[in-house]
Amino acid sequence: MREPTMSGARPGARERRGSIARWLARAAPALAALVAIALARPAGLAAQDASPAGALAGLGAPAAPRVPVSWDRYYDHETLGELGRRLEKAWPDRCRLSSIGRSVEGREIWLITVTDFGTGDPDRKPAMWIDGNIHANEIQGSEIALYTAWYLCEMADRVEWIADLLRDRTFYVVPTINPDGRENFLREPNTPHSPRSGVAPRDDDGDGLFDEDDFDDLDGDGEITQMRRRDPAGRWVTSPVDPRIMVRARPDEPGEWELLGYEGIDNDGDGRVNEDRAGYYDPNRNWPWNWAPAYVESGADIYPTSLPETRAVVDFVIAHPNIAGAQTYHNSGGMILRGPGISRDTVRDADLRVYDVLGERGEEILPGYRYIVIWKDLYTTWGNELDWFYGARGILTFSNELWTPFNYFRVEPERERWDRVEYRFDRYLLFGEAIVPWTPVEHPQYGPIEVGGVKRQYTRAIPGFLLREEAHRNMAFTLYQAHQMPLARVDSVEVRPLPGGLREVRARVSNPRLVPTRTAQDVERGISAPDRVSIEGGRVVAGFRLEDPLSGIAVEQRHRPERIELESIPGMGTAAVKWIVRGDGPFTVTVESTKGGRHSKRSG
Amino acid sequence: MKRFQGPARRATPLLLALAAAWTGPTGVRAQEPHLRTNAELERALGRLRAERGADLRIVEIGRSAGGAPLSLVRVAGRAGEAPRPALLVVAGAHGPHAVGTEVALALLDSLLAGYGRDSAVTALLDRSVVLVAPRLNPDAAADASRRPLEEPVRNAAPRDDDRDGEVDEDGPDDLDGNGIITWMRIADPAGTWIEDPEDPGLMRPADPARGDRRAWKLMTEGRDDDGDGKWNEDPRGGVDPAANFPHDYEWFGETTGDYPLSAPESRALAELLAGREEIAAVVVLGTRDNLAAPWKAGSEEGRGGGPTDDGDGARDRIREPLERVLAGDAPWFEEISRRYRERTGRTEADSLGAERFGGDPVSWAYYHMGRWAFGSAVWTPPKPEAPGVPEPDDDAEPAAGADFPDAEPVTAAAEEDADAGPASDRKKAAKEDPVAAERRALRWIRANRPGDFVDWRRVEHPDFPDRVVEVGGFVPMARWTPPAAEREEIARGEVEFLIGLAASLPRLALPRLTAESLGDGAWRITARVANEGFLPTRTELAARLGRPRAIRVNVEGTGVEVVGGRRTQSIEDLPGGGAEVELSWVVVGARGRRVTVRAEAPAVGDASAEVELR
Repeated sequence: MREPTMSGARPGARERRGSIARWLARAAPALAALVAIALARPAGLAAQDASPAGALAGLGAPAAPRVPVSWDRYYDHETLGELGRRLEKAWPDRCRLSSIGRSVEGREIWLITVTDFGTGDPDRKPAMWIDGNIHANEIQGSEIALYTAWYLCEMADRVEWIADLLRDRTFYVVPTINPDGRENFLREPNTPHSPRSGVAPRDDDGDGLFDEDDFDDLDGDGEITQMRRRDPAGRWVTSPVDPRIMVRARPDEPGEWELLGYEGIDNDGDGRVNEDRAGYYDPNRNWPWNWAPAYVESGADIYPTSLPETRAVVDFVIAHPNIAGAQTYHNSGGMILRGPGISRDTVRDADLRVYDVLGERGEEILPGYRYIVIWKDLYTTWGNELDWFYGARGILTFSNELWTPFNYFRVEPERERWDRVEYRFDRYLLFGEAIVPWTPVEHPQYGPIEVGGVKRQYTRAIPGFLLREEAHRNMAFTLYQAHQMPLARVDSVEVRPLPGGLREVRARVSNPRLVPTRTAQDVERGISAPDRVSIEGGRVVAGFRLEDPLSGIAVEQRHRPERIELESIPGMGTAAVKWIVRGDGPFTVTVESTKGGRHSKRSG
Repeated sequence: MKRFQGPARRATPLLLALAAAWTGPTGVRAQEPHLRTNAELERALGRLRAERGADLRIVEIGRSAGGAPLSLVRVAGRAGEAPRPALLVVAGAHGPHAVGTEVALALLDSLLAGYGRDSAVTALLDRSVVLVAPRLNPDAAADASRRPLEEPVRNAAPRDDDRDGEVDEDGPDDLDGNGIITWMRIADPAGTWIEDPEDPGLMRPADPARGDRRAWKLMTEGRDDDGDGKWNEDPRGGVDPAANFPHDYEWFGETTGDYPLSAPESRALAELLAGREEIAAVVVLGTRDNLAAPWKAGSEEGRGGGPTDDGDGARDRIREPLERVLAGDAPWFEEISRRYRERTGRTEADSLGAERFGGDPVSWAYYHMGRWAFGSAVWTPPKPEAPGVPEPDDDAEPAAGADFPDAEPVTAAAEEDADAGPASDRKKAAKEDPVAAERRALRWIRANRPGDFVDWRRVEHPDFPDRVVEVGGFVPMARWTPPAAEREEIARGEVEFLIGLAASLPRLALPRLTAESLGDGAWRITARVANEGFLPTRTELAARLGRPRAIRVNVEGTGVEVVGGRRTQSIEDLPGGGAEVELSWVVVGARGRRVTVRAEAPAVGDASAEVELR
């Protein structure tokens, strides 16, 4: 049973289903490719057995995926590309791997394009942009983006709704737009919060040296955790519930420990520790809309689009005006964010109404997530990515902050003095795997200390056994948005003879989806081209836009009357045009919408 | 400007050659080149010669949208490779401003001729570097050779301005066959323009509240080539690099590009400045003029960004992008401007017409890059000297008026510049005379170079068969082009100022370093670090940005341990005009050991000194 609001019963959907023979003919190259893949499976990827015969497939999962992927782990840049390549080989009619540019360190910024390549020009279908991992440590956006590409490929044969979606829409999936930072997060010792930046060298402490005082993995366990030193003058005590937890002593209570920050030494001898790490800027403050220099927004970097990764996305999106919706995944906190990032910017009223419908549906799909506004409910951000998408390109864009503490026990956690929800979850569900116990080490500046604490893939990244659910729910929200992107249709073409041999051709066009063909921001700023309804089959004497299809008030378009321009077709709405034509027909009417696609109909 | 002294006084053969190559639009002479072609510029650069040990290098910092090289000339004295403060001079970003390129070449000529001969030039090149980007928009310069001649503004990036799927399909057309594109006006009661009663020929926005009857539609000369009901809405080319910088950037503008720094030309300059902290000051010869009329400090913070307090206590630090120069920087802008006016003879009123451009490189270089940033328009039509000619109020503000028929009047200028009084005054002035700059230009041109204004003449226009259509207006580039007879003198004034500015860059010195025995092998080291330049070591804004970076001071010595004070420390700023700061350390080391103190930052050079413990 399909969700009624998403079904959008469309004429002709049934005829499109092919016979088994046709399917086999289409699938043959893919099956051959699959064999090739099976023979040459590179190391590093978990092999999964195909579902054994006799099993009942769970819903919401491919029974026997052509590209088996374990959705309980985090993939490095090379493997993300490799999985994209495998999808492309396994599903050549649905998936293509390319690159939109290169990172600071020369890595490809992988683009996985998913659509029904057999129907229409992929770059002219209404498209959904999905990226992740702009902050290097906010890693699971990549897996969720990749899961989306994988799911669409693997499920289109099984679920008609997905097949329809791929016929009508294109998905531009860029699993990571910060590949260098991702590699740093995965390969270098790090905290859950580092690095947020990419790795273009910056002189953070203004001493003329670049990235010369990064973290140091003192205990050699590949993690950067906390440092503590036993000191009665310290203001921290050990929790009696879980000795791994440090609790702040009350003002009138003696302490046991001094906390010394993240693992590191003073590498450059300037008296400070970890003050000039790899990077450091905020890639999500480097976008040209509302960009502000570093004295306002410290992560802004030197100028807007100074980072090649930012610029690659900006140039791609400008070159693909068919993008009509976007999602940029972050972590964490369980938020469905929309802009603006600063109070003085605005989302136009008409767009706000659409945002709200989408966002509120998201709250239902994503329990524990709140649909909120960046500047008002989170904090002020200048030059963030989604404000550029909306402000400069008129594209409705969300940023989901993946993972929420709600998910630990599926209740809103309460504050306690001696315990922490992530430690409790670690004790009862991860059996101590997530946290490094305090370990003595010798520090060159601080003397004997202990290091310990949360591993990097905990608290922000998602425990493996929960990752797939998080991926699926977030994907479901983006698919809902993608489904609700505009879809321009010609509903009817009616011909009426006029005295003297002329004919009147009247066409009704519609957009049976929530999002208008052009957002209010797009129309107001003139960002994309107006929608165009054109006629073929006769000589046009005059052309009109009908102000009101019922009353028939006609507004003439004198220039190029054979191609009537419409500002926008509203969401769930219609528009009408008419022509006075010499000729007998039949007449073909075509609607062309940059963000709503193209559709034609012939008069009866 | 008559008091010129310096190397440029000797008109070298090169300078004379420059003057000859640069003819300017002295009338409707469609066949003559209006500015030096790119090939001629490359040849002129190729003729530059370093003599008497000067160091001359020409590098390419990028390529234009049309593939032309963006050249950067570096001139320095022979003194080594050590980092030295640099002055960057940029010209030819806004295409019609051809005069800037000529001044840039004259500067190069003076520096190269003066090194080893003129003590001031020799001294400045031995302690500083001068970088010159003579033409940042070569594509526009190439367009200036085309006929019909249009205002050459855009780079060669093809752009679908009207988003109709076709590129560059509806540019202007030469309706009257004079080889140049001016404007056309269409008699139409629905038009919003009238002919100015005081200066016939000049168009100004109709003000129905004052009884003006709308009379004309005004647009660039041309036909509706693609039949879409719009005129000249998709001309050849793309972006004006001089309007493509991020400060005060105009989104969705006609020539401003898809986003700031989208143009390869502006991008190249951004990368240059970002990558070279040694550039202490930037001068852009172009359309934004804060040398004739200096920027003044305003309220420190800009307009709203975050909530001031959401009731739970402010969660954000409330900070805003600046729209006025910081109070600590303003006096320096004023003083440099004063020196400029003294050298060139230009006045504050001469900045008229050079304030309206947003997204310009001068503002960006200060507000975003924290550099001492100056702009000179070099020349704008001066107040006519002929007695009896009524002159509009010099204080009147210009507005986006007749020059930009599609722009909204009043707002651009009213919101724009920081150099006039309160916004309400400026708005009032703009309302009183929204075409002050054009009025002044027209009066000057009529008196001095009448061929640079094409009088309105009726043409037959196929798109308006039943209406009166007339073509006329300013000749492209005319209003940025000084009279031929004055060019050499104008260039001299600018060059003299630029040389003076290069000599004013901050520079570090260590005038005093002592070691005082505290007994038993302990010593107090005391150093004085001084800025011997005129300008402060960096702007107050740079200190806020953290870039260019602060001065770093290091103490070291073999067998010497620093036990008090920092082995490495920063001096945030040293004010200009010889300011000093004293630093001290306590060290332990045997008598006879030596201690070295070094102070440096890219934009101020470095200084070091050594002292023996004794």
